[in-house]
Amino acid sequence: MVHSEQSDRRPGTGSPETEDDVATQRYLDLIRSAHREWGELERSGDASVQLSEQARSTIRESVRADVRHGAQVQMPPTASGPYTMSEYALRGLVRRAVDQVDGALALKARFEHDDSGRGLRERGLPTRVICRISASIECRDLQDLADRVRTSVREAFAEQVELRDPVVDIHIEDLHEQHVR
Amino acid sequence: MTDQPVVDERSLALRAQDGDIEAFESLVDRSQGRLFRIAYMVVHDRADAEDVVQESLVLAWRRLHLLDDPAAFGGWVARICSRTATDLVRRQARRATDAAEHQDLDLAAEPGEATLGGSAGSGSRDPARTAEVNAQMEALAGILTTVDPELRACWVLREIDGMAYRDTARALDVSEQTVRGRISRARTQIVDRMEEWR
Repeated sequence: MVHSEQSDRRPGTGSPETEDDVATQRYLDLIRSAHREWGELERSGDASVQLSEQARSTIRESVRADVRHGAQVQMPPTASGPYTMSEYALRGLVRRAVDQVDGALALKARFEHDDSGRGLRERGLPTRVICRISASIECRDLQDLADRVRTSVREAFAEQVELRDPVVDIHIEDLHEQHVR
Repeated sequence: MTDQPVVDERSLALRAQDGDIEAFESLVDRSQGRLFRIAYMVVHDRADAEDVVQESLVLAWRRLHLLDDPAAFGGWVARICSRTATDLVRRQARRATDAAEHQDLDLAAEPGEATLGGSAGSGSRDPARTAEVNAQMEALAGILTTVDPELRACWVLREIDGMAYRDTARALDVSEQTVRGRISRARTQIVDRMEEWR
């Protein structure tokens, strides 16, 4: 019901209440109709009710140009000397290591560091990584899944950045379905 | 064939917070239709609505680390979008630009791109039906241009986006009571306009 302050002053042939009811019905019909039509267009994938490809492309470019690389993180020194990598790259490494384990999906990672970093923009060597992950609902042994994820992350650290002794904590905090492609 | 995880919005938001650009792009794909609807209904111009959605999503990416509840990504980005759209309408009103004639969805579409209810490549669509669809959308969006921007954004979030009163209040940073008042006034104005235009 639409409540109009002027409803009982509106001129017309019928009673104010009747006119209000008719107006309300027209209003509701219009809303319903707009919802229905727009919904149908969306469901049919009609391009007119979506962003243009050009607009989506602009968003993608802007997002990629605006990636937050985060602080630099100390890595074990190589023969060529000390080096650092960005938190962004380190997170990517962890995500890929988690995702490659069957039944696991990386969500978000957090790192703890030693005190070798120099200031806010440079963190020390990672001493612990806390991986928040989702497990497939088909996974029957979550302990085994956590072990496989931990191994995968440790191997990725060792092989790719020669980081051999960080503690890897696995937090399974969600379950997801799998579908076959 | 490989098993692919079915990734929900919360997981995508968490991964995006972790820096996964592809996850954010999936969120863009999932939310752009909803955001476009909100923006278009508030600004009533396809080009402006696209700008609003672009600006909102890029802003969302930049502020993603501030999102406490990743499961609330949809409402959060809708909030950014409605505020961006309202700001645009306010700026336009202040400048009294009455923007070079509002650009109808039909007219704004680039060559080869879609018009509302008549997508590129959907040549088999019944033109009469397309006209009817356009009329419904345009009628509502046109009526909304006469409604005060604050009332308009409130009304769109509630009646078009289907947001709960509480979420609409959060989105607009006002009390639930204010939301109810604004929606009531917007409804009244819309009904009155509908009567005038009959």
